Amino acid sequence: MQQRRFNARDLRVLGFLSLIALAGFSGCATPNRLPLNPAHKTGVGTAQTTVCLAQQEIGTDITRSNITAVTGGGLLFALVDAGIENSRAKKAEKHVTPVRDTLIGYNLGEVLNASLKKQLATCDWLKMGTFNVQQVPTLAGLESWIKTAEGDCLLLVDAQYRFTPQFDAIAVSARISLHPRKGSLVGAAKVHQRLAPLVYYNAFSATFRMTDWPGQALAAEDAVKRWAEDGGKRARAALNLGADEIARMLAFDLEQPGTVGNALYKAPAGAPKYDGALPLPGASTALVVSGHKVYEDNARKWLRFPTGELASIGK
Amino acid sequence: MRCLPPFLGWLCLSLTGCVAPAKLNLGQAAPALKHKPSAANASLVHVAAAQDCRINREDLGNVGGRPFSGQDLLVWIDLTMSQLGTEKFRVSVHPIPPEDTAMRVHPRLLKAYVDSITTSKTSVIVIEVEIVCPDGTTLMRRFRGQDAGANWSSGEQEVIQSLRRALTRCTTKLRSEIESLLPPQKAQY
Repeated sequence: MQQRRFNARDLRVLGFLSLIALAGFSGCATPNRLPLNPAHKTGVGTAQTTVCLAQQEIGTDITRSNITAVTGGGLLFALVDAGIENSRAKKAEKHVTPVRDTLIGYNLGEVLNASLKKQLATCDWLKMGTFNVQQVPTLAGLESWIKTAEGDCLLLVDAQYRFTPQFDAIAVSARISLHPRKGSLVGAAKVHQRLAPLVYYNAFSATFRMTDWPGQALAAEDAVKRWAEDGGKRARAALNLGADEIARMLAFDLEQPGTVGNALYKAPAGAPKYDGALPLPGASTALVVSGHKVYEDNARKWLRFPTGELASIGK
Repeated sequence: MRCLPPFLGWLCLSLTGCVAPAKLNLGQAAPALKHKPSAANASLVHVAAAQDCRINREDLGNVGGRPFSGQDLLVWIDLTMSQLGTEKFRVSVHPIPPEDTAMRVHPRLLKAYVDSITTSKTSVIVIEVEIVCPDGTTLMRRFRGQDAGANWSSGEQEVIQSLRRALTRCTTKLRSEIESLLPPQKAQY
């Protein structure tokens, strides 16, 4: 009798775990992007733009050690991975100092605001109100920012900027969301990506390689020296271009529809795939993912990932 | 088996503590700068109270998703500055510079933050200093201290220790700069 009851409980636990797993997998099969419903455009009105930066200076990135994955797992190998990553992080933080010194007064938030003002002027349904920058470690204050925002909604730009692990490029990324604070859109807004009710959400990344990067690979110290030369001229240029590209992609993405039945974004049959950096919320490294091309000009290609994010890469 | 639920409860509470926002009390945690006692004829350097020039004076960044804010940050800087003296120079932090002051130093805090890189953490302190030299010339210098290491649990103490190491490296560079700008000491017989 005792034995039968134990088995029944086991089965219930197993069923519960299966449900959790199913819910988890089904969560992976829907886009992270929440498109702006075209019918909602007229209700957007005037938007206050707030750029949030958790970083005080340009960040570094490292190539993650994958000994654990190669060897099939184990705590010992996980510790080895952590040791290798720690050593790489220490070196990256040591190398980046000259560029940080030259960018001491640089404010990416202000640059992003200027780019958004210029690029979003093409959206005739959106009136740009005030612009501000918040230097905060998290978005914990989002609900109060929405309440106190000027205008009808808050356009939130949660931005990051960092070097690639080889110091050959700078990546600017942002999670952008539109939060109505009054008017007809308030009822249509929903919680998405653990953010306060919103009517639009997507993540963007723009990676800019050093314009005159030499043919051969450079040691990290030499690469950083080049970025830091002339008061950080190259680093400033890459960051300015990155900010402008994020604003350009946002202006484009606000006009793009979602998928039918909230399916993942798929490349047209036979279309090539390209790798781009996918920014992950709150993570200190980006994930390299394949996406399909949705736009290209003389210098850049825009990739749409299956989960809807956009990445701009050089041609 | 009876111990398991309390243990799991304790573990959950501990892990919750590791992601909860933390306010660091840095005023009590000034690094102890080592040096030999100042000589009797050592020059007097007056260090003014530090100014905070950061955009957000509360924010100290985040480690492993855990946000940190700081209080008494300027007290912490000032306490550390008061220990700058070496055998070549003495330090005065009195609000009014004494008459025999050879050099005046005005520190400004530009950056103070912690950040994560995968499983590691980094701490950075940047202080800009206006130095009025014995000959009356004014110099602007910037000193950066940095510390990187493994992030064990995003704990308050390990973040405080890391910030202390960063501040020690920053002030050690300032100390060397002050020594190099002071005129050589006259030998005492």
